[in-house]
Amino acid sequence: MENSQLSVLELADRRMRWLDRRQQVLAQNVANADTPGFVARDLRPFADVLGDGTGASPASSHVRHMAGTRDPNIALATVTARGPNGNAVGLEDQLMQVADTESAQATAVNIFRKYLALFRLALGRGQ
Amino acid sequence: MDLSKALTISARGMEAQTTRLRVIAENLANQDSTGAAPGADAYRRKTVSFDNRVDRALGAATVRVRQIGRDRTDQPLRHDPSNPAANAQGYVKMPNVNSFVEVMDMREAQRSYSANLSVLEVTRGMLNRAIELLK
Repeated sequence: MENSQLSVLELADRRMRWLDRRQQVLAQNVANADTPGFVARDLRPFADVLGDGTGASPASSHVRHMAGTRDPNIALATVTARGPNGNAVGLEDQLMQVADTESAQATAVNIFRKYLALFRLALGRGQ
Repeated sequence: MDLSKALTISARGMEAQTTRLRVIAENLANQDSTGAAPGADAYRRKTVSFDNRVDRALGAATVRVRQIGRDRTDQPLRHDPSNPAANAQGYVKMPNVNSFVEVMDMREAQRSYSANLSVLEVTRGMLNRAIELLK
């Protein structure tokens, strides 16, 4: 039970977290589609992140600790073309990835929902 | 939460494009604004430059308008002795606004604005879907 069912929920949970984060990175890329010198970023692939946990970050134990601006999980995307102002964000490419992220998130949420429904069924409160 | 950050990032992007559009409108509206005194400079085209900055309160980098600068290219001269801004030789300095450049810029601003809007809509959908897990 612990290993089979719970881990699916945990996996879905991690996947959703990763997708949330990715959506943020992609939103940043699109917002910077006209910023001079900006290069598109992307998260490390989910499979990589899954291997070593969700990526450790320094703890902030004091109010004056600032959140780091560089996330070890974020890498610059490979540059295929640059505009005259040094900007390297392909809008079409980014929007494709946004669509991709959305459908992956729908999948993860549905898996999560289905497993929750299984638990409800076991508890005798299923629909 | 990352999704609400993504919403803010997209909204700031739209804001920046709106400022850009405002500056383009100013440029187009002033493409015939000559100076008041004889030999005075005419309207100088304004330019917008963007910048990606970390917003500490938000905990993420957002785009913003870094500065609204002035285009320093030479202003074209036009022979129009009856104009109050004409110099002794009868030449008037005209604004260095090129309406083709402005219209191209406007198209780009529009395209970026709608890209941000699509990302915002997708993010909102993802957020709603996550919330619906509670049902």
